[in-house]
Parts: sequence; structure tokens; C-alpha cells
Amino acid sequence: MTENYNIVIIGGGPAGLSAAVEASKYTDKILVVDENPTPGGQLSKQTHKFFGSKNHYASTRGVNICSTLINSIDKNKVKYMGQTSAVGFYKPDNIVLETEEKLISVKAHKFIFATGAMENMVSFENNDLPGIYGAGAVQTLMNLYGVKPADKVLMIGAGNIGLIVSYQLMQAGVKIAGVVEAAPGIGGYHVHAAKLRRMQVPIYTSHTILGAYGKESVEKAVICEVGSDWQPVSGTEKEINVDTICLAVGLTPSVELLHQAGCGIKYAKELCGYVPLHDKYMETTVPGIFVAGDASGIEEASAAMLEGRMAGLKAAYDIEKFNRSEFINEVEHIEFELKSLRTGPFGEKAASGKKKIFLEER
Amino acid sequence: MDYKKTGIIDFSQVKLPENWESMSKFFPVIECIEKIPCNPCAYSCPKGAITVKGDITNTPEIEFEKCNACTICVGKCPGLAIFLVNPNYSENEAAVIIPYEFHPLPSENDDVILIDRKGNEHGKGKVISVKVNKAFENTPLVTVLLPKELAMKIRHVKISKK
Repeated sequence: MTENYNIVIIGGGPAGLSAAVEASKYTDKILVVDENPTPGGQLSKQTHKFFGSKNHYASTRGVNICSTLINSIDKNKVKYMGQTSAVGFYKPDNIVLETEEKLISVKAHKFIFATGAMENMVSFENNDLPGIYGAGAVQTLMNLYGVKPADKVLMIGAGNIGLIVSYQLMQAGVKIAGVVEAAPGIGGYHVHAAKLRRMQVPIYTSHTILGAYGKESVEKAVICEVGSDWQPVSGTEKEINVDTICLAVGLTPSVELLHQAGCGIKYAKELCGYVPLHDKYMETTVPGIFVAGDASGIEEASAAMLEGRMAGLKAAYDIEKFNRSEFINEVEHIEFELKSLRTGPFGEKAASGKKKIFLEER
Repeated sequence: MDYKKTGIIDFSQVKLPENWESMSKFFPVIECIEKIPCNPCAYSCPKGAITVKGDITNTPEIEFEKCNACTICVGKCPGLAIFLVNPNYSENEAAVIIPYEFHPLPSENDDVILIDRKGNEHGKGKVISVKVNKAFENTPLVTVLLPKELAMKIRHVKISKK
């Protein structure tokens, strides 16, 4: 039997939850699907205070933003299915969900894909040795399950994730041997790097990891300098004794389902991979299919939440055709906030990527 | 752009009151020199002393004469990049208020190791206050006394093992 919904949202992270909050102001029969038991995505693991403006919950810890979003959802209008994966899309309006017990087929008027991103891998010798984790896994163990994941960690990647997770590890009583970054400069915000530096953590810019070594699990890492040609400089190898290597070397948008649904996809380096073309309402080339958050290009959670709101708003408007001026006001407000976020050296990258994949209004 | 490589800012870029060396009250030192999308310091300041003009990615501007050293910005700043400094807290000591998010917290009267932006240690200082406020999302604020010449250097403390 096929269940019918107004809107099905795939992914219950910052973008998906925001879409549900916004859409449920105007319409009902909304389904949010997520592979994790509890909603929140990466938000529920963020113990640090967020940046952005008051309207994007700035200065609030991510985990608290998560509960605010969940609490503001009307449970009579929105159903949440955890431990459920969306495994296939069948045109024009059918999605197959895999729960723990069975496959079910769901139909909807509108779909919002807030599928997030996958962590990147980096190649080095023995990179499959136990004790090598993605930063997301370390955060899940530490901040969701309360498990101390390591005693001494080498962090690979000095973007915001590498810097923030290093700080959180230190808060959990884990020693950080250093942060290794292949680029000549720190990729994340200076304020995050400054916290680590004053806590006596070295940041090795223009360095890379050559290998991980140990009998049964990681006992040490070997790093070295990289030249301006991005090649290892021989003779600069350095051994660092650690029991864990944590990888925070970027994210790639998860667009497989959107691809399968026939959405136009384009590569944009600034957005970290192949992303669906979309208009200002986050609607893709396939009418009725929206994208939001990291699946539409890697950015911060503040942008993901705004994009989610935009997608939820437009999807609900197309169904309910509520007051047009209210709709336009809200659209303009979200557009303004997104534009403001995408200024400055960090935001400009996203802004130029978004230009490449922008669809003019139909 | 050296801070991009090292994680250490060029402190000459940080705005201080003109006569700060002779001042004997707390004022904010905002070590936020990069254009990032953030403005809680500005909207949380009850005196309107801090502003982020135009785009949210502009860096904050401070009018020291409006500040009454309430510490709200120190607790609100997501980057933990604001410190309050009183260069002449007593005859021989300066005082610095530092956001400190670690357990265990130091206690009043504890001697703590003083650490600068680069992670170098500079002897010991004395904790005179530890405040935890829910309104600051529970970021504890630790006030530490230290030698005057270290007032613009020390930005972190470490509990010394007994």
C-alpha cells in the first residue's frame, strides 16, 4: 500500500528540520525521513556556539538549536521516521523507503531532498588501520553516545570541522597532537584556530600525512611538509605518536537520489562537487523536487537552515496557495539573509558556486 | 595574512582605547579581525557599544566610552574571541576575564598557569572569580589576576597540577 503525503522531506538535519518547521506553518501531511534514530543530523553533535545572526540562532549551541527546531514542529502535521533510508525515486512522485523491517512506497506532491553530504577520504599508507576515523564518527561517539573516542589524536584538516572537532575532543579530555593541513593556510575561521593555538596545539600548515603505523591499530602517524607543487618534501618526515587519526578533509554533496530523479546536475568546485541546479526557491529542474542544505553545495549550517526554510515555504505555497504577499515577504527575507551570509572571504566562495548552478525563474 | 598560516593574529590590528595603559577599569578586547558571518556581540550589547555595520560578515566596531564592562559579549561570542582587560586592577596587577569551556573549572583563589596566544606559559596568576551564566550558553567566565606587563598577552589559563 502506498502512503500519500503533501511533502516528503529526505533528511532530518538542519535543512530538513527547517523545511519541516516552515512548511508545517501552512500545510500538513508532511513526512521527514532520516537514517538516524533521532532527528537533528549534524546539529545534534554540535556542542559549540553557532555563528551567524540572531535570526539564525547565533550564539546558541548547535545541540540546543536542534531541540528548538524539533520542539517548534507541530507533531500533528509532521511525521518523523527514523532509521529509515530513502533508497530509490520513481518518477513522477514515488519514493521507496527502507525501514528496519521492510520497504515501503510513499507518494507526495512535493519532495525536499536535504540529504546532506559525505565525508571525504584521503589516501595515505595504511589508511584502513583501526583508529582512523572521520570527524563525524568521532563527534557521534563523543557527543551523542558519550564515548571518549581516543586518548591522543592527530587531526587531518584545518577547515572549520577539523578545528572545531579538535576543540571538542580537548573538552572531552583528549589530547590533540596537532592539526595537519596540506594548504599553506588554515581553511577555517581564525577564531577557531586561535582557541587551539592558545591551548598549545600546533597547526602544521603545508603538511600532509604519509602513513599510519601500528601493530593492530594506530600507534603513530608520519607527516611531512608539502612544497608549493603539493608534493611531499623528502627529508621533512616527522613521526607523531597518537592512537587515533581523525580525518576532516572536506565533504561531498550527496546527490544520488536527485540524480536518479532526473534533476539537472552540474559540477561546481566552490560547492565541493556535483550539485543539482536550482532556482531561488531551491526547486530543481524537476518541478516539485527541491533541494536544501549541503546537498545543494557545502556551506555552514546557518545557510542550510535558511535554504530549508525557503524550500519548505515554496513547497507549502505551491500546495496551499496561501496569502501571496505573506509568501513574497518571507521569500525576500530569507533571500536577504542568505545573501548577507554569502559575503566576506568565506561566503564569497559559496556565492560564486551558487551562481554557476542557478536556475532563472521558470 | 600571517594569521592564516599560524593561527596567531597580529595584535596591532586589534583596537584598544587610546589611553588603555593608564586605565583602571575593564574594557573589551575584541580579537576578531576576519570577515566571518557573525554578530552576536553587537546585538547582545545592552549599551550599543559594539556594532556590526552593513553585511553580517563585517568585523565588529567598538566604542569604548559606551561600554560598562557587563561581560555579556564575552559570554556570547561564539569564537571566544572577546576578553575584558583591566590593565591596572591593583597597584601591581592587571585582570583579564577569559571565556573558559573546560572541566574541571578553576576555583576562586586557585593559582593557574598563564598562557599566551601562542600557547607559551608565563608563570602563574590567581583566579578571583568564576561565573557560569545560562544566558551565555554556560560559557564560564574566569577572571584572573596577572602581572601588568602580561595584560595584553595572556588569553588562556591552565589548572596547575597539585
